Amino acid sequence: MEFPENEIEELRKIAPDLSFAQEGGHSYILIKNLSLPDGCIPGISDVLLCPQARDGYTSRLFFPVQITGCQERNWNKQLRVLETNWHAFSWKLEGNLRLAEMLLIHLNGLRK
Amino acid sequence: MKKDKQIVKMRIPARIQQQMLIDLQRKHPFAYERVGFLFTKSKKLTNKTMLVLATEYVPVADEDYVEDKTVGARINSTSIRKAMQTIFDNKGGCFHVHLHDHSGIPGPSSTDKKGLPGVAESFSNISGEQVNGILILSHDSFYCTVKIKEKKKFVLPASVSAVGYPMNQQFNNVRRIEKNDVFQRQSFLGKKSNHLFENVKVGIIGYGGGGSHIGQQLAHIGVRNIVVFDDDKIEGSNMNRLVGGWFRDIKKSLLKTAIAKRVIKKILPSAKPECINSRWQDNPDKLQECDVVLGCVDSYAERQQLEAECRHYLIPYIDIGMDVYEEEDKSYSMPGQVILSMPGQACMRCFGFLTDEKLGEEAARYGKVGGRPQVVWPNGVLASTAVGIFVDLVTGWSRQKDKTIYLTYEGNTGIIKDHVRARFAPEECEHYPFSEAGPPMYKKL
Repeated sequence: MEFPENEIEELRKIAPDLSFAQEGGHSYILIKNLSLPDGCIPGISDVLLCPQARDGYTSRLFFPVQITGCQERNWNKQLRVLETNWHAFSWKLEGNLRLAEMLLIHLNGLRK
Repeated sequence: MKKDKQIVKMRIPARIQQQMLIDLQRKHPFAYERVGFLFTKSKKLTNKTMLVLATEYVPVADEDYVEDKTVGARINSTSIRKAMQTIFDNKGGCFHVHLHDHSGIPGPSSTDKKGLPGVAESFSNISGEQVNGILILSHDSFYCTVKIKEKKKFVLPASVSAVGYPMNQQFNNVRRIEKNDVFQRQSFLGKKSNHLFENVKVGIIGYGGGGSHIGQQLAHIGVRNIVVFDDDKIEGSNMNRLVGGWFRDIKKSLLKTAIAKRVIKKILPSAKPECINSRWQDNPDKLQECDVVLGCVDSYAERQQLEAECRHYLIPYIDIGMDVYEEEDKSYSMPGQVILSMPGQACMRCFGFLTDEKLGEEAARYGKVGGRPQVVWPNGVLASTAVGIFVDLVTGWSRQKDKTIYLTYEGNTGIIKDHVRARFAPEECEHYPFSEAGPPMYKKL
């Protein structure tokens, strides 16, 4: 999957360290050292964004651990993606969003 | 080149092996033989086993040969530089490949011994952490020697496998096979079958209704290296189908892997079952080391993850599963499946077995499902079918080649047959290209 350069630029303004990989026909963006919403523990984390539809979601955001100190969410069973065990909460987004919008709306799910 | 401690396992997709054979048999305008480069990715596992996974073969271009009648083929420095650039770009390793035009195990000629180690050492200089080496193909076998960072000298890998249907596995740690009549009735599986069963490493994911049949049968066949993954303990509700489980095990809350070990060792005392009392995701190295994996898991999400891991490490994955559904008229149907997910060929997504819709419905149900109905006999049918596929895969006794396997089971009628989707599956999988084999590589954006 090719990501539009302007959308990557927008994303880079939120978290500059971005890389991508593919697995099973899905593309993933690894976002390093992302600041999570206030109160989240940990406050900074690497996250993995899948901007494509998978598992019945239009996009998904994966965390290396279950985030605490934030809004309680329905966290799914651990999922292994690209050889890392990730956590994700059930959070449905609309389709056709820009990458930065996607990320911010997922993060909004953690806000109290 | 002395035979050293064998800690390297090399896996080459059979399709790449075929591609190499075809390419290396092409005539060159003046060289007697051809040369190519096999690019690889390596991963060091926690037990120091080094996995080497072939991802791409690139022939040396015609113009990069140098005329020299004293050797079969001489290639110029440009070809080596191109290979080194690819190693650098891929952060991988590389093998110098050529063909000895005969059948049986090839060996290096004196020219090979003199000239080729230097090439592999040049590759190692720019990719020290990766395994580099020399691969000589024959029509049906290989000679391989590798350079790893920890060793000054070249070493022979413990195994080299062409991953396809059937597998072509060469184990270098040849052990004298005990002569007895235990396997007399399965001698039709081939002269090498006992040797293959003794050396192949098989993973069983989930030791419940399906996995327990598989563990028992693998031991009967003579498979010694069985890795059983299950983090669960036996409960009363397992007793209707967990083969080898005893009533008194329930009181002791025995781990299912302990039951596996007991069953396997009683049947085959020389077996070395490994019990992994955790999810495979928490011990992935143990899975990556397996040559074949049989999955008996409950969910689509688990299947998706298992298949992805197996594809990364070029491991054939055999999936079994069944369910019981209540129909509108209150009757029950009992469908099941056996699927072979062979690296390079159709995956469970290509077959239409794994879909976003199914995964989504399952994710939505998460936490809301109780124990689903399961019974012993369909588990036995599906497990036996999977073991049959495994035996053919390892020995090639049936002489079927490049088989696509997606079988559907109708528990109500007892019929097992090819799923109609198997006919329409693509020959090549677009979801898991060989270029993605090995540990994931993130590229900077």
